[in-house]
Amino acid sequence: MPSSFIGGEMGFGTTPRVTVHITRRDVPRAAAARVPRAAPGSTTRATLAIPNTLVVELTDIRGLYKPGHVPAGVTHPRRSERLPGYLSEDHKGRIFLNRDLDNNYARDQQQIEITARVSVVRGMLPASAKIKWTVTDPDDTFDADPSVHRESAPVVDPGDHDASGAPTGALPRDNRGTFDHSPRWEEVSGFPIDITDDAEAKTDIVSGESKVLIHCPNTAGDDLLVTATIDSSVPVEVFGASTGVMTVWHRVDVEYVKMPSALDLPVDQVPPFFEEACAELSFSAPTVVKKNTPFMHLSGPSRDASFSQYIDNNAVHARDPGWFVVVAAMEGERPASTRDSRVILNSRVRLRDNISYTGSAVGAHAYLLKEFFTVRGDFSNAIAATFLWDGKEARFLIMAPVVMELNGETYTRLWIWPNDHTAQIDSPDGSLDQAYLHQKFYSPRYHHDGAAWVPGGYGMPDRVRVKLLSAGASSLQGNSPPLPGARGDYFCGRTVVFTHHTTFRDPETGHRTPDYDSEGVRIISHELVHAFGMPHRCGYLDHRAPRRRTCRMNYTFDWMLDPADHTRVIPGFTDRIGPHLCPLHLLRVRTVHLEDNDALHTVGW
Amino acid sequence: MEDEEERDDSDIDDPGGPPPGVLFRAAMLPEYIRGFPLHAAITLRPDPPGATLRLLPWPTLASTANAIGYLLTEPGSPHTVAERIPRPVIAMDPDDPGLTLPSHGAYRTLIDLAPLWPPHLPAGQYRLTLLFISGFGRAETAPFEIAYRDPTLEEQRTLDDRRPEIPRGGTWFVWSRAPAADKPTLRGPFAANDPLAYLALQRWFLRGDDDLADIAPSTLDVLPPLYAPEADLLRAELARARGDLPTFDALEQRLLADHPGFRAHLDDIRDGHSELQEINEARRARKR
Repeated sequence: MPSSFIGGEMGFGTTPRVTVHITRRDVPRAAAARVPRAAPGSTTRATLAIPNTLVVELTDIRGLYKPGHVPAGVTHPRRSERLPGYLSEDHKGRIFLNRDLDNNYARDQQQIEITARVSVVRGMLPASAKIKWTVTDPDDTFDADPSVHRESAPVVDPGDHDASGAPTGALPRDNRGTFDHSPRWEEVSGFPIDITDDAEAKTDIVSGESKVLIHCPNTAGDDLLVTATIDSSVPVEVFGASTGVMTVWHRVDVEYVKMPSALDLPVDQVPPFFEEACAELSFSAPTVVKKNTPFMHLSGPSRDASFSQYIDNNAVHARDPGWFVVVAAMEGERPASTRDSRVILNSRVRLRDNISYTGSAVGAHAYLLKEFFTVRGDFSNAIAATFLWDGKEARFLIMAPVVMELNGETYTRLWIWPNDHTAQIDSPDGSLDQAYLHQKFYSPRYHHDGAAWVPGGYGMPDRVRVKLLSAGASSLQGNSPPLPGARGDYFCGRTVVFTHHTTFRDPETGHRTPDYDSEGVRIISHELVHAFGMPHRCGYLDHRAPRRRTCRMNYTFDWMLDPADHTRVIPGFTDRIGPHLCPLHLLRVRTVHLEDNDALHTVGW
Repeated sequence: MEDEEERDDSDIDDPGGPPPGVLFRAAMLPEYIRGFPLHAAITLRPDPPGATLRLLPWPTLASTANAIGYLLTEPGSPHTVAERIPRPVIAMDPDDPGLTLPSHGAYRTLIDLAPLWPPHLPAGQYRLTLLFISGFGRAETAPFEIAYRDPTLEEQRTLDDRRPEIPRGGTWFVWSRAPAADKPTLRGPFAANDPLAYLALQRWFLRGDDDLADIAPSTLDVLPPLYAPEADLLRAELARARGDLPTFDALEQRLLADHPGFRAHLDDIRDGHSELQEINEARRARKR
């Protein structure tokens, strides 16, 4: 507001219009006291009641980082950097999980150290005066952003909505985290502390200054606001101070490794899409390795082992806590075939099911073999099927072609691999096991809800047209080799992007394809969301309004879950993947504890 | 078949049959030692043989791919001492079809059970049944009688010497591929009773500075029978490096008779495109 504003009413906006009533209180100036003048030869007296007027100013917050700040002399800054004196006046200040005050990785530490200066405007500083610190938990305003769809908001901030999802107001005290340090207040040497409770503490004022260390809640997206005032046994007039809203974030440094002939990845475009989930990814300047490895995987170990070994051998921070690695490589492996995948059959077929499970296909997961169709001829090289009916189209992979001879004629029975969606994510711990705990399956006419097949899925009729695709010269776009941990394989933030894949690079010219940047961002960000322990294929739209795009974790050919009936999927969303996350993925990226990923833990997280 | 030629197969009245599955076989060493790798050799085949199985988890020596588990009992007792029931990720990735078992094909690999092993299992005699779980269901091996013991003082010294060479959070497999500061030390000696012998030989071939052509194939004779096919693959690598095609051909014939899944790897060796051949060629280029 203008400095000349003397208080009163201010209005903002039109429809709706917000009216704010503002009271202005000026810090008094120190002035000479006027006393009665005495005539010559007479005496007079006056009693001066000098109020103690104190001003508290916050002068610095260690452990707080300002987005977009570029410190002098830093050529490759992180997405946010420390700015001495920054108090989050813009309410965008970031406090990082698992970092000490100097930004070193420190498991289960998220803290700030605040310095306050006390100025005496009038009177004196009472001997008993202390700084009284108060921490409050303001409302998370993410869901109030007009770009957040109204159906997404209750997922991210249920406290601001009733059971039906209707907004109930911007309510505070909505942090999800706990404190990894008890008590949450900690004395800074030289400034003795008196802790009242988790919300309040008092510290001594020494030479007009006081400091306190505050442990912050341990979940990204949690926010806090700190006020400082004076606590004194004698009356004082105090002008206190407050920080802006400070928010807890993940901070991950991402080492960017590049082969000399690999195309440069659009890594600069990736971080903004993580920041809506309070995850700051800062890519390093590229580490350019000395020589090319045209095919990263050769005969020998598995692909994952080859890719993992390449990362270990070429990334400086491959096994450092607080780091992910993204590699721009050439090709994943030498193509097994020179022929592209192509349509090998266009036929009307009959879908069948209800097979009794015998033989070796028993036990866990054998239930996936639910639907099949049979065609004449040997189609053992079929890898995918596109079904067409009633103007609709859906794609599946072929799980198992079985070639048979019946009455002297060759047939192939093709078992369909049902598409999977994971629309519930509970307590992700980085393991693939936990990520896909609530995975459900959708086949042409059925849905498997985790216990049994029920009608649903894609709602196809029994007879449909199918186009079979052959296995061709497959080549990988990207891969994220896992690391082992207590529950098997774990996501661990090690991603390779193969920039000579035809999606990225025109094989004739060697130039980037027109969609290079958008595809590159999609692949990198998809893989790095996995790194937070997330499953793919949620089957949801993204969290934005208006609703145009699907969550970044879906596949291009996916149908989305029917919001009214999760036994079914609905068409109309293929090739509509956007760069944003659905509210569920967004929330879970916020709330995951990367330091509890067992595989990352073994490398020092 | 023309791409867009339309036809009708909806008249085929195939009521179906049992869905295809995985035949799972394994071989094990008679004895394992705490702290060392716990290698087993597994083979997967389609059942029926004419089926092609796609999107299988891909266990290797590097990772059991969340697909391998075990049941451990004491001999003569039905009581389970420890178990590990894997829950493989059934997450289709159109970009990565996983392991494919072609019709009449087979996939053999060594695996390391150590990362899955109960850390405080007492030394003793056990019956071990391996599990392989995939989208095609659960498959089990017949039980194996194995001994599990603590390391001797000398074996403990080996562990103490070599463990610091494992990259942080890594396994013995990662160790076998880690660069070595002192390459001549990779030359051995290799003892038949050293549980790290196979991985140590691999490390020498990968990370040493000796041309594969100069390594005597008999060096591999030290490996126990469990490793016989993998030793033959390494012999084929050495033969190719020497330009000894008759030996290579003989090894290829022997291997493919029992392990058709080695076809692609052998083709790569013959073409000089296997990992070891490419590394060896780079090694030669540096020395020229």
